[in-house]
Amino acid sequence: MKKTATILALAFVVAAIGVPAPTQGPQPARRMIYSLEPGEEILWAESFLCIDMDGEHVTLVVAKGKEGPFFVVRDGQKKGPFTKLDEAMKAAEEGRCDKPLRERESAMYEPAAGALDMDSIVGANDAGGQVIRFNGKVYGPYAMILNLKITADKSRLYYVAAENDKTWFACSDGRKVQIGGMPEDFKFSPDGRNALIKTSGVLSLAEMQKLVAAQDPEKTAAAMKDADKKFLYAIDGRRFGPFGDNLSEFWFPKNVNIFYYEAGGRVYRDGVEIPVPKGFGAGAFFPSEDGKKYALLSYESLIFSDGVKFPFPLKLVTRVRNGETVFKWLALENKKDFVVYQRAL
Amino acid sequence: MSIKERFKARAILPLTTALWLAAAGPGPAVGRPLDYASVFGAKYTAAEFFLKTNAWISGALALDPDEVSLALAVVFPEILRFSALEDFIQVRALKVLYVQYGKKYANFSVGRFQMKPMFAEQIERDSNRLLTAEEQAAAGSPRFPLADTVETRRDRVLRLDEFKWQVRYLGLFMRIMNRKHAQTAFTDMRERLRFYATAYNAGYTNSEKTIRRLMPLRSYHTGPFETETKYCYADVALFFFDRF
Repeated sequence: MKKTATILALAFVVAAIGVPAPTQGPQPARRMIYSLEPGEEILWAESFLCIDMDGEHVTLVVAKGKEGPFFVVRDGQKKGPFTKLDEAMKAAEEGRCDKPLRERESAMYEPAAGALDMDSIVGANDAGGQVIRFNGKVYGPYAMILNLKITADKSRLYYVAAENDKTWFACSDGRKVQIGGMPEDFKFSPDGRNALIKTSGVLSLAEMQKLVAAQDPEKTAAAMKDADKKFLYAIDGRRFGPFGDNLSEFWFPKNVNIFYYEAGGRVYRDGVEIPVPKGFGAGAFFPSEDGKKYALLSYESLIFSDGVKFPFPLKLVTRVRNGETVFKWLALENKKDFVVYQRAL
Repeated sequence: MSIKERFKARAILPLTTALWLAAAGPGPAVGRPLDYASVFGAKYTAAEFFLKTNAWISGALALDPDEVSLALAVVFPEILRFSALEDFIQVRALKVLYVQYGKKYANFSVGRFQMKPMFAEQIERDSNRLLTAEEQAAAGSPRFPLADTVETRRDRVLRLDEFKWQVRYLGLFMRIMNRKHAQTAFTDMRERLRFYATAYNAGYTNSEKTIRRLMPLRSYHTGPFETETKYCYADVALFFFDRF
């Protein structure tokens, strides 16, 4: 009886603190970097949490009581006591990590939009059309270049161009897809080889103009209704949709060259629905390269697709090496223990 | 407001306020109206542009036009500040700590209107206590669950992450202030704005006396850390109100 009660109690504790039952997944590396002493409190506004896969440079400014004394803890070494906070801050700033403090923890691939010298890329031809000049080649002419982006390695350029009654989504490597409707945004993969564009409706601007000129109210009304429908076109020519307002996001995850989209609360990979718990946005969804495994990040936890859950990750970084995604994160446990975890997906 | 009225409004500043002004530390000269559009430059322009291009906020507040003007002015200094602090240091970590451990970690600001979880908590409590279900519905908000749990704190942070929810919290703030200070005498709309803006910035649960005492305080700055030169939050709000 006593044994049963102990097991039940243990099970309750495990469930309550979210420590997972043994699973087939890899066990995490866990390392405590500092434990607050009794009476110590972290001054969060003055502290710097800086982690990357090669190390962590956590600088904590701690106080014993509101009036101090103050201490600085960096990489396990403690300096102080300082009687004034200014002195502690000075010590904290000496040699602290110089990585940018600005942070965005998103699982989406979002390359920085560098300023393009449009005058050198887009030009006019003798017939009054527009051409694109990129890496020694000329693309076009088109009636109008609607949008263009260059991949991070600058090897490819994707563009959207209108030509008479056709609209094209094209890549400088020669792939070219005719799209219908009005083009919205497009995104390309981290390696620059894959891309996806979102459009509204099926008729091109020229077709819409013809329809309006024909003064057929029924057809015009039907076309207007169609204009609300959303489609996705991949650069390989595949089309997905129609979607209504429920196409909430389309994206390439960091380090993954397959596109994902979320429609009606469901997540699709390369057009095929995959099982992901509802309520996690694109920025919190970290799939493996082959899409078979994933991790979900929330304010409450980091959950892996093998069921393992780690509570309250403060700060997280990821890295893909040899096809394996590794996560590293900081947590504050028991209100006093600063812990770094690392685990492969 | 006429020049005479403005003079009168200045003339009745209580002695304590004048003393406070004198003790408020470095800042622009007292009594000389500052051109905050010049002081904050591009940040001011960006904040103003944000409000001009997000006209839906006025509709979403579901308040009388005068009240909308007042509400936008109340949060304008925060919008101005936000552009400088957007996504800055470890806000995510602070959100996690608040969800994990609660109130003790609730003192950090989120989003365009720089709302703190402790402000949202108080608004939710007062909204349930002071407003009818119809008034809450008009502000686009439900009756709030008030239990202090990981789930309620998580939901609160998720609400603060959404700008449309910050607008709802602002609408509730205006309604709560109107209810709490229905009997408070204001010389005019501009004085009411300075009072509301100070309450928003320094804590609306403070007494009328405290809020009035804090009205001229120069504690506002737009950098991530305290700077030598500070400004009066209520004055920045009023400057925007007069110009917008």
